[in-house]
Amino acid sequence: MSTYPLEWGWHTSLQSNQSSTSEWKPKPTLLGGAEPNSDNQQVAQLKCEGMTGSSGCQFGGSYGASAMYNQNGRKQCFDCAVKERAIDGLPGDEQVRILRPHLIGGK
Amino acid sequence: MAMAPPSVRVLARYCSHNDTGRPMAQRSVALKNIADGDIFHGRPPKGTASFICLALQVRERTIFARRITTQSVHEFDRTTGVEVDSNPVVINSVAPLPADIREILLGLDRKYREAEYRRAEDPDWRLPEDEAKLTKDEIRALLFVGKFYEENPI
Repeated sequence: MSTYPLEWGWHTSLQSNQSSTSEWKPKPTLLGGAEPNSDNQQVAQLKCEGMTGSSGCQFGGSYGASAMYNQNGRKQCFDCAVKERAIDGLPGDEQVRILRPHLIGGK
Repeated sequence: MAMAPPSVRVLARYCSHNDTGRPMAQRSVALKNIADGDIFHGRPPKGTASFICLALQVRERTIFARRITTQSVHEFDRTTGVEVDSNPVVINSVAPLPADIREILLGLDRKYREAEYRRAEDPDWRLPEDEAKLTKDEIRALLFVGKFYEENPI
């Protein structure tokens, strides 16, 4: 477990984030990258990491929403995934179908 | 009575939902015909995720493949088409795609693979905004495959 160096010696809990997320078993890529695990309970805990550039929910809006999609190594909510793909002008059902191949595991 | 191995149980459950009316032998033959470079489709037994996979290496008993959109790698049992994993993806279509759609998907695979290489060199690297956007052809291909694989199950 890594601890922030300045906290050393303080009464910090040694348990930190070790609960279910520590048992993550990401789907590997050939280069050692990873897709988030598809276990529904763990997927529900994933937070959207927003999108590249100056927009996306990391700058407000639905920031902190559950991430459902894996887009270029980034976990994203539906809104960010739609914006990043520039498919926001399409009907909702088409957006869902286009993003289905990016869904994390069994969601 | 001995319990069937997990992969067989998953397959049985999957098939009960996918009533194609085709004999299992036909499925087996279709799976055996998958070759390196083929694109096929799989789904997890639960959920609606779509796995468009590129076969990288076909071995005697397994098919090693890469999910094009996320670049994650998966190993499937070549007889059952069930992934060797605790939450397995099951191959549900091996229908050959039209040439233009196949080329577009291979282009997407190239784009995401290059991004994967760049991220391996620099974990903070992100696909530029304009490259992350889907082209009209890519949108057309992704909409097409969803419907196509649904209509052509094994």
